[in-house]
Amino acid sequence: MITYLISLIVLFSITASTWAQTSSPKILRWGADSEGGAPYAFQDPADPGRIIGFEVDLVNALAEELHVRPEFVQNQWDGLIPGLQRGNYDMVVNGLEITEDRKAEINFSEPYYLTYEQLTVRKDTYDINSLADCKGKVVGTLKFSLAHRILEAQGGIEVRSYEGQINAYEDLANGRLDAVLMDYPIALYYGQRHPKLKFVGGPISQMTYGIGVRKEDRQLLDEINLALEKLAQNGRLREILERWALWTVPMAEFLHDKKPSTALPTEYDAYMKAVGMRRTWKDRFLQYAGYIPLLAKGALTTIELSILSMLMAVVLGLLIALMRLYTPPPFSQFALAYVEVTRGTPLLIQLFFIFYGLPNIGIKLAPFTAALLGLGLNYAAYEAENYRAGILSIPRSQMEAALALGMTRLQALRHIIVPQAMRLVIPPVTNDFIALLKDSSLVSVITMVELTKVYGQLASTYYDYFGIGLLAAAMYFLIGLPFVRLSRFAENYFSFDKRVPNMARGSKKPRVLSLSGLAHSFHP
Amino acid sequence: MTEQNSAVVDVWDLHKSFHGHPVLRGIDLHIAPQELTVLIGPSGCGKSTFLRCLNCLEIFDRGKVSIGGINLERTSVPSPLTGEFHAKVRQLRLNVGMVFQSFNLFPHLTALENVMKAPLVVKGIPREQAEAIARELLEKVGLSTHVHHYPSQLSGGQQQRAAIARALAMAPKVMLYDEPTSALDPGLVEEVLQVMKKLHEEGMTQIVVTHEMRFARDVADKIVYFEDGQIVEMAPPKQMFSSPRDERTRRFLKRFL
Repeated sequence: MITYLISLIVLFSITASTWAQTSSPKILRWGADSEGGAPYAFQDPADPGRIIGFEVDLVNALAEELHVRPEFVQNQWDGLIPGLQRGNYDMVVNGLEITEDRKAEINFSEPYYLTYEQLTVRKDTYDINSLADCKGKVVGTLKFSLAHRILEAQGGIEVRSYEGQINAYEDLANGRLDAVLMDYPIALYYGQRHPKLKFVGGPISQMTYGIGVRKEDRQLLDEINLALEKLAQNGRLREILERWALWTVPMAEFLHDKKPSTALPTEYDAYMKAVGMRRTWKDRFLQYAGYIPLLAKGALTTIELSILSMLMAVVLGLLIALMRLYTPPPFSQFALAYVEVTRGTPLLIQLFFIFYGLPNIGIKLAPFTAALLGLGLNYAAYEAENYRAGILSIPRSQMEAALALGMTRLQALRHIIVPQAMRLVIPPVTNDFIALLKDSSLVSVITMVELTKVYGQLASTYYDYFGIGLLAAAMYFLIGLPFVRLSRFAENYFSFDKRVPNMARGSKKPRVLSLSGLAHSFHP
Repeated sequence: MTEQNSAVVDVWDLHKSFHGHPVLRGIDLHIAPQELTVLIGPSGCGKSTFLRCLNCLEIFDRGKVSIGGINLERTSVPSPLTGEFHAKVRQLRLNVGMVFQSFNLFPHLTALENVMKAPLVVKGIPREQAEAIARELLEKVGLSTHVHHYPSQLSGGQQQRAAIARALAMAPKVMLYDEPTSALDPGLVEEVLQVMKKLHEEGMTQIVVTHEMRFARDVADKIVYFEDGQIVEMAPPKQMFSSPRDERTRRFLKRFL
C-alpha cells in the first residue's frame, strides 16, 4: 500500500515549469478565480462554458504582444499567490491590488488598472453620502479587501465581511446592511444594476491592480512591463477598459490620456443584457437545462474523486485498524497516533498542507492527487475506527476457535474475523461515504473544479444562488443514492443469517449477531 | 514410569497464575493413547484453564507439555516468548482438537464450510479433498442432511456435533472438550455424548472437562479430580466413584451421587 502511494505521488507529480524553462511555442498560464465574478474573469452568462472579462481581454492582448498562447487556470482567489509560488501558473491577473505585504511575496508589474472604492446604499437612504456618514452604521464588504481595511481604519463602523459580492448587495437590498463599500468595478457590475440600490459619494481611496509573477521570474516581469507599456501607448488598454465601461479618472490621469471616449461600452451592455433579461418560464427552463452539462462535469469530478478516495480510505483504514489491534507497541501506537491526529485536525488544513505546504519539502502534487490523498488519508482514520469497532464486536471466542484449529493470527483475521466484521461495518462506512461525497466540496480550495465550485461560479455569474443551488443539491443527492442502495445490497449479502440455502428450518427467525459477549444464542 | 514412555500427552509440573493469583499449582499428568480421561472438580478449580494450557490458548508460566512428540517447555518466570516458541505452539495445536462449551462455530460459514476451512487454510489441501473429508466427518456426527445449514439454523446439539467434526477435520492426535454439554438443553446432551463415545470406540485419545457424571462413570478410562489448582486424586471410574481415597473428592462426589 505504501509503495502504491509513493508511486501514485511520483506518477501524478507535476514538475512546475517556471517561465524560463518553458520551451517554445510558449504557453503563458495565468491564474484567476472565475467565481470572483464580473467584470474580471468570469463565466459568460450567454455561454457559461466560456471565461470572459476585461482581464481576459487584457491577457489576450498581452499574449499577442509576447507571442505566447494564454491558458486560463482556475484558482481560489485566497490561494492565488500560493498557487503562483507552487508553479500552478506563471502569473496572476485577477484584481490583485499592489500592496507592500504582497510585494514581499511576489513581484508586481506596472499597474494595468487604477480604481477606487465606491459606496453603495439603498435608493431610499438619504443620510449616507460619504464614508464619514457610515459611523454607527452596518457596512458590508469583501473579506481580505482594501475596502475592509479602510472601513476598519475609519472606526465606529460595524463591518460585515462577505465571501462574495452578490450576498453583500442582496443583504444591502433587503436591509441587513446600511451600505456596501467595494471596488468600483464590482460596484458597477453588481451594485449599480440592482433596482433597489444607488451609488453615493465620490471615489474613496485609490487602488492599483498589478500582474503578479514569481520573484525569480525577472525576465517574464520585464517582458510583461514592456508589453503593458506598448498596450498603453497604442490605446489597446484604454479600448479594453472602455468596452467594459471601466475607464476611470485615476486611470486617465495615470496614462496622461485626457482624450474623450472613443470605444462604446459594448461588453458592459452585453453583460447587462444577458443578466437583466426578463425571462419567460420557457427561457428559464432552457437556461437551467443549459447549466446541466457544466454541473454534470463538476459532478463527474466529485464522483471520481469520492470513489477513489473512499477506496483508498477503506483499504488503508483496514490496515490501520489491524495494526492498532494486533501489532506490538511501536506500530500500534503509530496507528493510534495516526487516527488521533488525522481525526483531530480539520480536513481543510490537511488539504492546504498537502497542496501548498508539501512543496516546501519538494513534494509537489497535482491538484487531483493532492485532493485524493487529502480525502483518502483523512477518511482512512475514520474507516480504521469503524473496522476496529466491527472487529472488537466479534467475540474473542471466534479468534480462539480459529487459533485452536492451527490458524495463524493473520489467517484467522483474513478468513474468520474480518468477514464477520464486514457486515457490521457496512452501515457506518456507507455513512462515511456519503459524508465524504459532501466533504469533497472542500477540495475547491486547492483549485479543483468540482460540483460545488461549478455551482459557485454559475451562481455568481447569474446572481442566482437559489435555482442553481437546488440543481446542485439535487445532483449531490442523486450521486449518493445509488451508493445507499448498493450498501443495502451489500449488507444483505454479508448477513449470513438471512442466507437460507435450505428451508428445512425455515420457520426459525433470523438470529442477530450480538454485539457483546457470546455470539451464539441457544435454540430452545 | 512405563506409562510415560507410551503416553501421547505428558504434562510435568505445570504452573499458571492470573494477575499473581495461582490457578494451576504444579500439575503432572500422563495420558496413554486411546484413553478417555475425564477431569472433574468444583468450578474455579483450574480444570478449564488446564485444558486451555494444553493447546496454549493460555500460555502456562512454568512447566513442560508434550503432545504427540511436540515439546513445549518454560523453565523460569518470566521466560521470554520467542518466535521459536510460537512456531512450536502452532505445531502443537495441529496435534490437538478443541471443542468449546459455546461451540464457537463460525457463524458466516455453513456447517460444511466450517469443517473445511482449517484444512483449506492451514494445510492447503485441495478443495475437493477437503470437501470429501468434511462430508464424511459430518456424516459421522450425524449431520449429513445439514451440511449447508448455517450455525444459526442448527440446534445446540447439532452445532456441537458440527464443532466436533470441525476439530476432527485437522486429524488431531488428541481431542480436548471444555464442558461440551454445559450449554445444551438436557434433551440434546445425549447426542453429543454419543459422538464422543463413538470416537472413544474408534480409539481417539480424549480429555473431557464435564459435569456429566454418568458419562464419566460409563465411558471414561480415568477420572481426574481437580481442586485448588492441583490434582487431588486420579483413578479409574469404578474406584473413583465407589471408594474415593481423599476426603475432598468424597465431599465433591457426594453432591452428584
